[in-house]
Amino acid sequence: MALYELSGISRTYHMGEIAVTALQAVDLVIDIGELIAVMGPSGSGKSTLCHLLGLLDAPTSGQILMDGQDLSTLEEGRRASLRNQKIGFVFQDFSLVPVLSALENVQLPLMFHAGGVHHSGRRAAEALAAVGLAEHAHHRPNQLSGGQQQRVAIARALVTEAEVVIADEPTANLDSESAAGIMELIVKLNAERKTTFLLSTHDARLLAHIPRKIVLRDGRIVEDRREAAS
Amino acid sequence: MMLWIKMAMRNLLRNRRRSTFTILAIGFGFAGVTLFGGFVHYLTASLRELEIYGRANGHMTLLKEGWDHAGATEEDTTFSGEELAVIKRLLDEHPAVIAVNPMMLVSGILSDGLVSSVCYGTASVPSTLSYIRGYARGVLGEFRYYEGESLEDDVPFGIGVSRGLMNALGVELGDSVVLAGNTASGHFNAVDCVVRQIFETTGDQSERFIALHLEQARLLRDADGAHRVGVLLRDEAYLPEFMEWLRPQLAEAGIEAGMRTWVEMSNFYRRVSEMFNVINGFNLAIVLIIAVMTVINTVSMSVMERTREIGTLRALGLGTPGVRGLFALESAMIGILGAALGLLLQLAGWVTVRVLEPTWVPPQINVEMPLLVYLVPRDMLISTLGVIILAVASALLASRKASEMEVVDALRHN
Ligand SMILES: Nc1ncnc2c1ncn2[C@@H]1O[C@H](COP(=O)(O)OP(=O)(O)O)[C@@H](O)[C@H]1O
Ligand SMILES: [Mg+2]
Repeated sequence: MALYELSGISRTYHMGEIAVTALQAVDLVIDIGELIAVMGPSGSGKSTLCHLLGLLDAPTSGQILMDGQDLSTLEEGRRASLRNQKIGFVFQDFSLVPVLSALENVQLPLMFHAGGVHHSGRRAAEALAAVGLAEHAHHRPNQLSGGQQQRVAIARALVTEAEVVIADEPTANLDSESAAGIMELIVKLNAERKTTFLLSTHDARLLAHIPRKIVLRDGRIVEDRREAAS
Repeated sequence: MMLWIKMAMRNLLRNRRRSTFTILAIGFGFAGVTLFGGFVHYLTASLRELEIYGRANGHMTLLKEGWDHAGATEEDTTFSGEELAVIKRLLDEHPAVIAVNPMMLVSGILSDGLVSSVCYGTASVPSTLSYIRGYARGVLGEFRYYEGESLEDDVPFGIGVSRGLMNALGVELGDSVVLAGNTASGHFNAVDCVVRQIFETTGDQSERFIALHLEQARLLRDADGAHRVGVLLRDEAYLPEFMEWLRPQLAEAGIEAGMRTWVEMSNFYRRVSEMFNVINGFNLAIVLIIAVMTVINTVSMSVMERTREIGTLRALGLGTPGVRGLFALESAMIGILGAALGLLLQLAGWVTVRVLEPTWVPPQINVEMPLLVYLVPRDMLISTLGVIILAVASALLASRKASEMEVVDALRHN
């Protein structure tokens, strides 16, 4: 079953006179439960693709369907609630709210849920436990290592039971050991929870267990390779 | 909801210095405005008491219809003895009336035999005058209106003279003087008087003023009746209803009387309170502008510093209104803390004034009076709510642009 269907997606940025085309005529289908790595050098359009899939941005042309629904016509309020309910984000720089504890950070998306969510504390605690940070629930981000912060961010992405977690270079700010730990966690969560994961990276060394790899170059998909998971 | 508040609280603490100064600015501004407002309240309340009780005009005054027309004759300006009797009988019927003060106005010449001076005066029954004065509750409650002795019902020749008149004539307490003037029918007349008291005049009066017994004025003018009748009610709240009731009663009794409320009677009160209300409003405007600017500045700075964070929150599904709500909540807390500080400072100022008991000579009053500030709960409540609402509005304004920014732009911000 397709989660996303992209056809003819382009995204052009205008900076005064200059137009930069970050994505060009991208066609892509992503099925529910997939684990996909988007690779490519810096500037190839990985973040742009993540933002489009994550409803943070809209394409200049082309159509994106999510669960069969056309996303291009949605107004911002509706997009915000879709982001809240269906999509989890993980950013390169962790993006935790510094004044909140790990647990409170994980609770945050539940607070944004229209109408509120019951047992948000318990659900956040469960999500934290799932990433192995139950003991660090009351630590502030600045009391956590980079790897731990990124785990909190993953818990925050999972707590709403999102359909898809989009992680834009989740390991770029981590040492190789923590990076490997994060990749392992993502693979494990994808296998256990059947949550769709799409992550971007420019580091090919960590992708041993990723079944599908998409390579972007200058805004175009130059390779889309599926491998049987080892 | 708790988490929202926690987050707002901690964000304020994140910039402790900035938040503190914003709160201080609001607090001091708040206290400045409310203390000055409390002073204005004290002032206007005192002037009101002066008019109603001090001058014993009561809450309203009955005047002969046409008393202020050009070329008004004696009959146009004076209630006859019969009319006065009817008026008194009518007023006594009404349960809200607690005192009726018939007054006669005199003008003439006061002389100690060597020196003479023009003078103007108001005559009342002394016991009525002191009875009405006894109802004053504010500063005038314990105010000494004069030096010397009170006028007494059974000493009709006793008079009070203003300090200006005393100086002009060189008279002292206990001196005999002659008050000369015309009778109601236009003849020349004179009565003997004894100076029993010296009092200070205010800026709206002639400085050559006398206070005398109604009987003495009647003797001089060879007339009964009165020029005016002051009516003191149980409470000012009864005034409109009372006047409604009185109007047809007077008409039915065939008495052509005009009614004036104490505010209408007192130019002095109106002018002074208008002036101070203007100053007060000006003050308020300045403080409000400064407070709004400060809050806008504070919120703008945190919005700028936290643009990236706003991007993250929006990526997690917080809508535009939510972003503005977040800053509004922080700002509301600044407003609440600022107002709380302001209330504390106001109370501190109030206590200080209470303890130090400063005095001053108000403009146009010529008497040293205690300087007080009143605590007005209604104003305190309005100010508190006003500060919070303004803080929230400022935050909504300051965070509008950031909240409507494209999410990706916010995320790229650093
Ligand atoms: N907001 C923007 N304004 C202008 N150009 C942009 C913007 N975002 C991305 N780009 C440009 O689009 C291209 C792709 O960027 P991006 O998607 O961030 O690539 P990657 O994440 O693979 O490094 C780059 O040339 C970049 O400079
Ligand atoms: Mg990127």
